[in-house]
Order: sequence, then structure tokens, then C-alpha cells
Amino acid sequence: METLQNILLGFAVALTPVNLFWCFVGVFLGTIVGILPGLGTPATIAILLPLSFQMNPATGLIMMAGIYYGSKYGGSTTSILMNLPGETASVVTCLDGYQMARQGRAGPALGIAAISSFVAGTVGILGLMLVAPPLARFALRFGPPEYFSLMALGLTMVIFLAGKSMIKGLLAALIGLWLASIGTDTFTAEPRFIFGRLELLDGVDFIVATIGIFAIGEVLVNLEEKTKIDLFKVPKGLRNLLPTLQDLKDCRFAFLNGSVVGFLIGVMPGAGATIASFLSYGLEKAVSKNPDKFGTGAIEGVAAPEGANNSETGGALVPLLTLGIPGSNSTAMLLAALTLWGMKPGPLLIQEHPEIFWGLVASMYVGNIMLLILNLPMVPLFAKILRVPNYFLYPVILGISVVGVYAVNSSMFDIWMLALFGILGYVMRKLDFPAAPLVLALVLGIRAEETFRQSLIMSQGDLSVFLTRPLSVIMLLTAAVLLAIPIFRWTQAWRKQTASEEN
Amino acid sequence: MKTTRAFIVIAATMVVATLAVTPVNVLGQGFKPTRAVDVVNHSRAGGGSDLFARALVQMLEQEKLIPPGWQVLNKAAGAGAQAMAYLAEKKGDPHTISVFTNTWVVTSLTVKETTYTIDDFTPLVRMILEPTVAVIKGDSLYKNLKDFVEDAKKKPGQLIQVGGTVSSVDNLFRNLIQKTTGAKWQYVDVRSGGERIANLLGGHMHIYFAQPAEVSEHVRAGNVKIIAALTESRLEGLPNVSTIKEQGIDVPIITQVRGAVGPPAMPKDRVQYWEGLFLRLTKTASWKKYVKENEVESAYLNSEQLGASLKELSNQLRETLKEAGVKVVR
Amino acid sequence: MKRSDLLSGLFLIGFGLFIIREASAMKYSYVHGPGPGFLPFWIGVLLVALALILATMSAFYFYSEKERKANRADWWKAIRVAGTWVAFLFMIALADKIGFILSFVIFTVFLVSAVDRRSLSTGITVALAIAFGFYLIFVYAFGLRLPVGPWGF
Repeated sequence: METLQNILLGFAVALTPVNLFWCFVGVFLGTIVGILPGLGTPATIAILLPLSFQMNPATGLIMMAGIYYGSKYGGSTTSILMNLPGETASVVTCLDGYQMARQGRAGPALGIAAISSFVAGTVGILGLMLVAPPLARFALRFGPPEYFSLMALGLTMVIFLAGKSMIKGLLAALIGLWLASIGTDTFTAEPRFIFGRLELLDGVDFIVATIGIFAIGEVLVNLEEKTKIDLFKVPKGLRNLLPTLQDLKDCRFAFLNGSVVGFLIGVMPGAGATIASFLSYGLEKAVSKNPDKFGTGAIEGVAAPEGANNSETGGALVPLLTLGIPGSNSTAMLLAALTLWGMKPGPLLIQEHPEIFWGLVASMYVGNIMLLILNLPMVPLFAKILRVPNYFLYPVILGISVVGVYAVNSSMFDIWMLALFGILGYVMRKLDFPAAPLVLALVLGIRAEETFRQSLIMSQGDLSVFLTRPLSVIMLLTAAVLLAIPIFRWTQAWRKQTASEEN
Repeated sequence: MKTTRAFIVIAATMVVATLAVTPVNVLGQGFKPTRAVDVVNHSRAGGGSDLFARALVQMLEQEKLIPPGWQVLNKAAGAGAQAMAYLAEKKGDPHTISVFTNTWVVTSLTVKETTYTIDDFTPLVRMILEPTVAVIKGDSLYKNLKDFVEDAKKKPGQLIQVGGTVSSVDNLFRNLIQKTTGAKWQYVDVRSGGERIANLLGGHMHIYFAQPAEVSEHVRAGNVKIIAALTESRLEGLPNVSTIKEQGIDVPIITQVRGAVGPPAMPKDRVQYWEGLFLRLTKTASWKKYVKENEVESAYLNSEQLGASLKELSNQLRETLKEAGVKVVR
Repeated sequence: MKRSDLLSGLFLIGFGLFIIREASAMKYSYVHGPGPGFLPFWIGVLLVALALILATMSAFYFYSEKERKANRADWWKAIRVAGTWVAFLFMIALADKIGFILSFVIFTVFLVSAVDRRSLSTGITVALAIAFGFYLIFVYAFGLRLPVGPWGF
């Protein structure tokens, strides 16, 4: 009953014309920012912050949150159409999304991404609304050992991303881990592999690495030959541009998987959308009846990570709004905005300012519907981007990558790194090394090492700390099971083969 | 909505009132920026120094001390190293200043790759001092820091402090206290402030040396309690919390400084402009509100005083860092 | 024998050895656990081990006829890619001197007209159109600060 009253209060706030307008502005800007690689949510919020000083905190938060979840929607577009992830969380979307586009199924891929984002996004908000306080208390049970096990679980996803050669997948992951180790070791203040460059003291920015390897690398590969005007065929007619009923049926589990995994990972401060999207992709492939389809254009491979990426937003707002603890750069920026507006986000926010919390929750329902309405009709339009001549498209991609990366830290060094990662991406592609494991290891490696060392300091060097804490054990077991599935399948296939040979 | 409107009316009245009392022409003579100024900081968007820089610009604008349009520039790499390199590059540019913290001093002392150190820049003003307080979980049995230290003596190495990097004020305080009391406990470095509080709330770690504003909401909710102020005298906002020295632990106090510096060798008239501008800011209502809300101490120093104070801080940090086992290169 | 795998295997062995050498100069352990040198050391070891397997396995690989054809080194491809990349580096270097917008125009003209062999007029049109769009969106609308040249753009 109380929840009902609260949600009514929330809608009363969210549906005022002023808030509706700024909610729309937020999600619209978010979509655009999501499409542009590099720029990212924290930088956008920082740019728009001065604009919001005139607003009241509820309106400001509604708009800023709109940018945050709106950008997640937009992130899939370039991944699918151009194999160009705008952020690390969309890297897995490329794997099957781009393949679908090459087969002329760009429309269904974009459509399913929008639908899955909507479904999972809504589940995330439901979770935020119904179980935020108890869930936040649960998330506090995650100490360094639990985080390490979560990172270990995330890293096992490498085996689902390796593609044709497991060895090359593992080698790519190792290079990612090495890149992760660059920078100042915070425990001892000792610099590692910085090659005398100040800019490397903080480590390799994984956005720069992702955009370099994927966007620049992709363009370089395509420029090997004189570009064709029409690279992929784009079927005409609205029916071919949207997912079919069969597609939706295929994605039933992916919607659920994405929603739940994304939300739960989101609740953990410091875990992030990247691990959520990779984990849900791995899970989807692990339970799928035909895992071989993944990487060749499986629609579930788009739906699951896109869902996870979006429901992560709802999850990430849980520790932010119930405890004042931000778990990512984006939520840290929201926290900063709240502070600058004179609010004090903390454990008492929901009680003392219900209009802010419930107004935001209600506005997110509205915003998600706006995003669906905004995005679905744009699918045919976006799909037409593929008809834009490539000699026009490639300079745009290169230019946007440079601008996006530069905008974050206004650092020329980042652009040089972008170029370096670009050639690395090209070489890896030519030599058949998969890039996704590298990005995954780069993102998770830093935290995996940190939490491992933190845990051992806590336990005074006793390794059993990972096996005596129940949550940690559960995650390590899950990792073991996921590792065992492909091995089990290989032996199954091998046995069948030998059996048929004997016959 | 009504309260908001009322607030706007009050705020507007206050602004008008301040404008009416203060002669507009105080900044008339000498240097004045001719275009929007860049305020550099060494955090990423949303980090401590970024927020401070943004708050400064916002307040200056609100109080009509500057025209709108000043920008905050993030140069986050290398804990101040990149910001220092950038500011040094802007030698002679009248439209760039930077906010700084202790981090600049620590980086100058410990990072051998930095080409510039805090001494290379023109000190402008010190604005605030940030106190440090010792925080434990709300249901913990310790009544004060002394209890914690005694318990740590009983089980050496089993209690855990969560904090920032090895060269942060938190860890320096730990080393100082360990040295005077003989107690030993572990120190775990956790990257973000939010996660440090999460680790404290989750009971994974036992004590955190925080800034009051970081934990004030959790104190209010009863999740955590403050057991000592690591300051010379009791804090205005926390009159019931005894200082570390009152509790019988005699350690030198390290304070977190925030202020502004300019590019190397800034001419006198420009320094005067910045001194005047920020001094005027400290007299405004926005500033008083900011200081109160963020539970910091307004501690204005002019350029000359700041220069001397930075030298002192540098010497103090050099000694404590060495004792904490951090390699000092300068 | 698969030459690309052999070469990348050998390169990665060397790279792994480099990491091991660097890592052994770092502290291997710290209070109760691994130090800064622990992770890099094991990365290096695993890298060498896996790269050895890759290099060895490459010897037992036989190309199909189709692959043999596809593998024939095409110098034109390499030149086009290298040219694009070097031009990209030039653009970055120039951006600091003459501003991003102008250096991007020059780069795009090169990319379209020289690398992709469209006509010069196509190159100029495309470059100007994109640069104008960028200026409008990023500089004008978003208020981003890109590297500027002496002319203020």
C-alpha cells in the first residue's frame, strides 16, 4: 500500500510538464551520446552540469539519469551497424550484432536490442522500486574476497569469447591483463611498465583501448580495399526491419537472463556494466542448445548483453540512492551533481526526500517508454546508415573516435594511444586473435588483482579466505561449472564421433 | 515547489543585498581576465578536486563575482602529475589557474617521473582545510580511538583499516599512531571512497579515517560513528567528539589543504587579482553555506602565506612519508 | 605450417620474456601476499608457455588450396593500411599545431582521394561536410574544446 502511495507521488512528480520535458531532453541526449563512441555518460553529465544549476534537484536528477540510461540504449547502434562499440559494455554486442548486420539482419538486431533494453530496463526499475533497501544491505556482504571471485567468474567468460582458437583467446586475454597491470601499483606506489610516461601512471584507459582496437582497427581492415558503395544489403519493407515473432521467442531466456544478471551485478558497487554484459553473454551461450551459433549472428547474443547493460542501470542506482555509494564513474557523477545541487545523498535520502527517489523511479518508467518510442522508429533510419558510402562513413568514425576520446580528459596522449590501439586491433584481426577477451581482461584485470591482494592482506596471507566465505564459494563454483560445460560438450561430441566411426 | 520558490526569492534577495553593500569597483584596478578562465584540477569528472573546482566556479558565478562561462578542466593522470605538467605549459597565460591539494605535494615528493613540482608554481590562495576523523561501524564496541588502539595491541595485525593509497593521509596517520602507541593493524587500500564506506558498513574492515562530510549522512542514520577527530582542536560541527590528543595519543597532525595555484612566475598584479577575488568569495553567503555543508574549515591564506605554508607541509610530508616506508625521491 | 601463427608465437615469446625481465625488477611479494611484481611475472610466464604451444602447433597446420590463394601477400593492401595509419598519426600531430578541424579536413581529403582513389572534388566535399558537421555538433552545440590552431578553430 505504501509502495503504491509512493509510486503515485513519484508519478505526480515525474508527470509535471517541466519534468517530462527534461526527462525527454535527457533520454534524447543520452541516445545521441550513446551512439557517439568515447564521449560517455560521465563526460556528458559534466558538460551539462552548469545548465542544471537552475533546476530543482528532482528535475536535475531526472534529466541526468535520463542521459545515463539513455546512453545505454544508444550504445548498441554502432556496435551492430559498424562493429564499433561506443563503450566497453557493448563490446559483446558486436560479436553477434555485427554478424547479423552483415547477413542483412541489421534491422532485427537493432530492434531486439531496443526491445531487450526496454524489457530489462523496466525490470531494473522494478527491482530498484521494490527491493532496493534489502538488496543494498545484501550487497554490503560483498567484501574483497567476494569481489575477487566475481572477477574470476567474469574472467572465465574468456572461454566463451575465444572463437576458433582457444589458445589465441587466452593469449589475447593475457595481453589484456598485462595492459591492466600498467600504471602505479596503489599498494606500494611503485610504477609498472610506464615507459617513462606520466600519462601512464593511472593506467591504460579502457575506453581508449576499446575504441582503438574496435573502431580504428575495423576501419583499417576495411580500407585494405577500395570501399564499395553498398557493403551490406539492406532489405526493404518494415517487416524485414523488425524482429519476427520467432526472434522474440528465441530471446525469451535472454530477456530474463539479461534482466536478472544485469540488475544483480549493477547492485554491487564497483562491478560495472562490462562484467554484466559479458557474464550474461557467457551464460546465454553456456545454456544454449546450439552454442556454435554464437559469434555468427545469434539474436540471443544481442538480446542478453543489451538487456544486462540496461538493467544494470537500475541496479547501480540502488547503492547510490539507498547508501550514497556510487559504483561507477557514471553514478559518481550523478552523486556529484546531487551534492552540487545541495542534496546529501545517503541512507536517509529516500525517507527525507521521497519526492526525489520516487520521482526518479517514476520518470525512469516514462523515460524507458520514451526511449522505446524514440528508438524503434529510428531502426529503419539507422539501418539505412549502411547505405551511406563508406568513404564518407570512415572519416566520420575516425573523427568521432578522436573527438570522443579527447573530450574525456582533453589529453593528446590519449589520442596517440588510440592510434596505437588501432594498429594493434588491425594486426590482431589479421592474425585471427579475438579482441573481446583482451578488452574483458583489461577491464576486469585491475580489480581482480586489487581484490586478490586486498583479500590476502585481510586474511594475513591465508588463501582459504576465498573458500570459507559462502558467497565467494558460490561464485567460484559457478565459474567452475561454466568452465566445465564446454569441456563436457567437447567430450560428448568426441564420443559421438568415435562411436559413429566404430559403427 | 513552494519551498523552492521561497528559496529562490530568499537567495535572490541575498544576492541583491550583497551586491548593494559591496562596491562593484573593488577589482577595478590592475589585471582582470578578458575571457573565460580555465580552472584545472587533477580529478576525473566527479572526483574530489573536480567537485571543488566546480563548486568554486558555481559560487563565483552565483555571487556575480565573475561572468558566466568559466570552465573546469580535468587533467586526471598521475595524481596531479598531468595537471602540473599542463599548468607549467601555460606559463604566461593569464586565463588558466588550478586547484590543488596535498596530493600535489605528495606527488612532487614521491613520483620521480614528474618534471614539475609544486614549488614551480605561483601560490595563489589557500581556501579550506579538511579535517580527518576516525570512523567505525555503528554497532562496534569501541567508544574511542584509544579503545581501538588497545584492542589492536591485544591482537596485532588482525584489525583492518580501510583507506586510500599508501601515500594518502589515512596511511600516514596510521603509521604515526602505530609508532607512538606500538599497536599494529593492517591497512587495505580501496580505490574509491564509496567502496571504502561499503567495506566498513559490511563489517569487512574495522576503521576508516574519513572526512566528516563523507560519512555525515551515515552518522545521522546510525550506520557508523565517529570516535576521534584527528585535529588540533575539536571540530565546530562535532563538539562531542574528542580529539586524538585528548585521548592521549600524541601524533603530529596532517591537514588536507585545498586552494589554488597559478602557472609559474605569475606577475604581481595577476596574483593580486586572484587574492582579491577569492578573499571576496570567502565573505559571501554561498561560501559560508558551502563550508558548513561540507564540514570543512574556511582557511584563507594569501599568496605569500600559502607559499610559506606549502614549504612547511612539504617538509612535514617528506618526513612522514619516509617513516611510512614510501620512497621519497626529492 | 602456418606462418602467421609461427611469427605471432615467436613475437609473443619475446614479449613474454620482456615482461618477465621487467617484472623481476619489481617486488614479488608484499605484506601478506603478492607484490607489484607478482601478476606481471605470471602473465609473462603464461604468455611464453601459450605462445610456445601456438608456435609449435603452427608447424602441424596445412593450408587448404583456398587459403593458400587468400594468403598471397598483397602489398597494395599493406600500403593502403600503412598509409592510412601514418596519415592518422600526422593528423594527430598536426591537430596540436593547426587545430583539429583543419587537420581533420586535410586527413579526410587524403583518405578519400588518395587511399580510396575517389576524385579530389569528392574528397574536398566530404571533408568539408564532415568537418562542418563536427564543428556544429561538438564545438557549437556541446561546447567541447578541441585542439585549436592560431586561427581559433
